[in-house]
Amino acid sequence: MISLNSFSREFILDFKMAWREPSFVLPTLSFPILFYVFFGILFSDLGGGENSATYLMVSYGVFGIMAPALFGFGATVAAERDKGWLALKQISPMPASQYILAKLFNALLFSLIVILILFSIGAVFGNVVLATSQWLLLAGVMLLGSLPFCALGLAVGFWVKGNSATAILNLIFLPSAFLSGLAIPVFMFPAWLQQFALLLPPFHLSQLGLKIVDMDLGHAVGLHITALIAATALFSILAITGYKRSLSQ
Amino acid sequence: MKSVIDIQSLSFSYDHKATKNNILDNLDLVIHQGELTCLLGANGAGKTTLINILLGRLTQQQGTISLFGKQQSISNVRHRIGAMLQNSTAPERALVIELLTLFSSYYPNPIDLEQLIAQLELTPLLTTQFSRLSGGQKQLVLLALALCGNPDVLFLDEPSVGMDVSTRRVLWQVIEQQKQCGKTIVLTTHYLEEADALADRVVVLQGGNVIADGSPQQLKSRFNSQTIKAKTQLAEEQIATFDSVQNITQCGQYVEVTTVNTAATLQQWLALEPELSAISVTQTNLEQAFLQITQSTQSITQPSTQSSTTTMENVA
Repeated sequence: MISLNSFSREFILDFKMAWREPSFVLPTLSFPILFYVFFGILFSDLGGGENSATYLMVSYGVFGIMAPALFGFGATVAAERDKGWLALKQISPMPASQYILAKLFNALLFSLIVILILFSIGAVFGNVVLATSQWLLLAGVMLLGSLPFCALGLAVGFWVKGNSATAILNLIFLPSAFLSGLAIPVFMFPAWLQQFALLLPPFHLSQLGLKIVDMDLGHAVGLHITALIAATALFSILAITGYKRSLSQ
Repeated sequence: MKSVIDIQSLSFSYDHKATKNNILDNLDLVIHQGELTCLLGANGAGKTTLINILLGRLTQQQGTISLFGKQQSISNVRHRIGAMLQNSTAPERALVIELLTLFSSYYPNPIDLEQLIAQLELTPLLTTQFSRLSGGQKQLVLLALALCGNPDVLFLDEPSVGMDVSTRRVLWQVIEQQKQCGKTIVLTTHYLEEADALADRVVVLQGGNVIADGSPQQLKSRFNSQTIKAKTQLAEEQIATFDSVQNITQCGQYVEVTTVNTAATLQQWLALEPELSAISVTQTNLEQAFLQITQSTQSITQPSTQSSTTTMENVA
């Protein structure tokens, strides 16, 4: 049983510790925002400023929610496992669900902060005009869409040693973001690379987001949602087997 | 006395390639309520493995463990157990007070935090980040985390590692206090002096088995011997020929000779080396008793176990 008092302490301490860690906060918050300001606002050449400001707001939004999900989960879980801190918690009566939910809520909170900043910059400086329902739907899709990346981060955190976890996560994060068309749109890729993007969760999330602003490639919504759910399930299974493994280490 | 932990024929081994490495071998051990049991043994003797099995972090291949009088899953009784683990530490960016309040919130009947903080002399450190504490201070905070749930059973796996004299004094005081409250404590340590001062009972493990079990006093008196310490010019081989000599240890410029008859040994020694200087004679302490126990068993048990060969250096 999770007690609300204990859970909120867990959540708040996780948040404070993340905030005290410049190597997490700085790249997580500043990279998507800098990239967006640079490519989406200042040097947009994607056939009309507002179009590219909208397009890139969505794709850097995906980029922005991936980092807290992958690194907030993966790197901290791996480090806490290495330091034996996870072991002390596993010995205590605290349920594992509390540990994971506190981290999940933190990843969502950081994602929300990134999205709100990106949206504000898009609306104020990029002349992005959307209906209220589109803004809300977009934010909702981004937050829900961070779940597969949280699960992936958790899986890496339980399977990979602390020092290597960040390196492995970067190897997953940057190539998959690039190949999903988050920096350069997928339709500019050669055909075989466009096919390959269909295997990548960030591609499906960005297409879902782009559908809301009517700029997607025209695949069915169901395909994207199915792909994201399948990815979440697969990574969750990996994370659960990794957690069980961590109980005896 | 009620038994709190009842271990019956416990075996554990790691399978490394073709060779089977027995860490615990058919081990029986009953730990009673209110007892402070110190597990001694060289590295690899099975102490930490035993504690990890008791805490449910490893699963034995054979044997049963009863906790609080019945066979039950550790997950039913986690709220009654506190532990300091070897190589376990807290996150660097957390403040001491944050760690304490967080861990307290895990337990249904936590101890009064203010009192615990005062006992462990943590008051000036409460708003310090864990990374800025000294090694000994970190150990005291981890001890506080083990205690904050007010557990009935306390596992302390090498709690005094990295502690200076003053933090170790605090540790000892708190352990004494816990003992007086009737808590059951399982302690491992490499400081034999610590075991001697704190333990009601010393259990010596070697090769995954209990090779000695008794109060520190009993273990020492099993070896009705004294230790002569002196500065000598003689070689060890010469000293070994004297009457009643059991063991010789070189200690810098001194030599320590364990004997069952001080008078006889000294007489021969002085006859051969009249200028022998800086002589002192003491009753065998726990460390010397431990060395003798583990060494005398070494010749009986297979020499293949790593524990036997590393005994000397780890204890010295």
